[in-house]
Amino acid sequence: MAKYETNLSSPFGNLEWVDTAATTATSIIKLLGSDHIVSSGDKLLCVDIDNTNNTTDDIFLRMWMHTGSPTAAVSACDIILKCASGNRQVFSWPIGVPLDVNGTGGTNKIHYAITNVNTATSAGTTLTANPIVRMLFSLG
Amino acid sequence: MAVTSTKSGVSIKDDMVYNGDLDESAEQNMLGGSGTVYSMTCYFVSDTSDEEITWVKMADTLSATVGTTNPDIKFPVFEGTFFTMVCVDGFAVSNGLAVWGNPSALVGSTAAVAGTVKSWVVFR
Repeated sequence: MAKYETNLSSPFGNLEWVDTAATTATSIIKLLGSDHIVSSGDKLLCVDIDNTNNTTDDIFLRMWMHTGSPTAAVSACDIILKCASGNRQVFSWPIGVPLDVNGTGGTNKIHYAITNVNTATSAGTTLTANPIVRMLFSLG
Repeated sequence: MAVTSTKSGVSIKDDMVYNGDLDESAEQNMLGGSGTVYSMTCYFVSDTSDEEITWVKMADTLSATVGTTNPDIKFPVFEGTFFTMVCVDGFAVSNGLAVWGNPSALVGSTAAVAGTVKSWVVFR
């Protein structure tokens, strides 16, 4: 999976785009660590899910804000967003979703996965084509 | 400075549905059938200032069963705050829109919302 990050300085504070080019259904991607500057206390402002080159799978972006080692098929995610096959879906939260949703966040607890099911007990199957997901965070 | 108001001539076709008590009992078929959701605003009325969270859950179905139905969209709202999610190009539902909330992110939760969550859904 390729990841691209851009750190932007703006009059409104620092912003970071996280751009993922591909993923498999069971991949859990950590958004904290040495290669990311997103941390607990930052806010999620926008998610852009581009599923236009996948005409087979409806996909679901799952995000965990406070779970140390989530499992797509078991762990309850804090956010789930659907994008139908062949579509592009953009969601935004003008005031942002705090990454530390329940106050027990910290290092290594922010993750996401992209699955082709929304059932709580399944991680689905490998996607037939790779979506592109972009996430915009407000830092600090 | 005087304020001048000019009609834009743009026809506003959006509808809004208000739910004064978004809770653990699913509101079924909120759009009266299929439609496209453009925004969901929630106001979690502060009750005891204990900073509670409600996870709002939405599904493209005519009839959701709380504790069983897997949501298509889920996000947290925080006590004492207005919270808006904007679906920039619209989120289409082909069956209907069911909305409910729990103080837990778990799909299986049937727990009652602590306090009152008011919500406004803008759709077309």
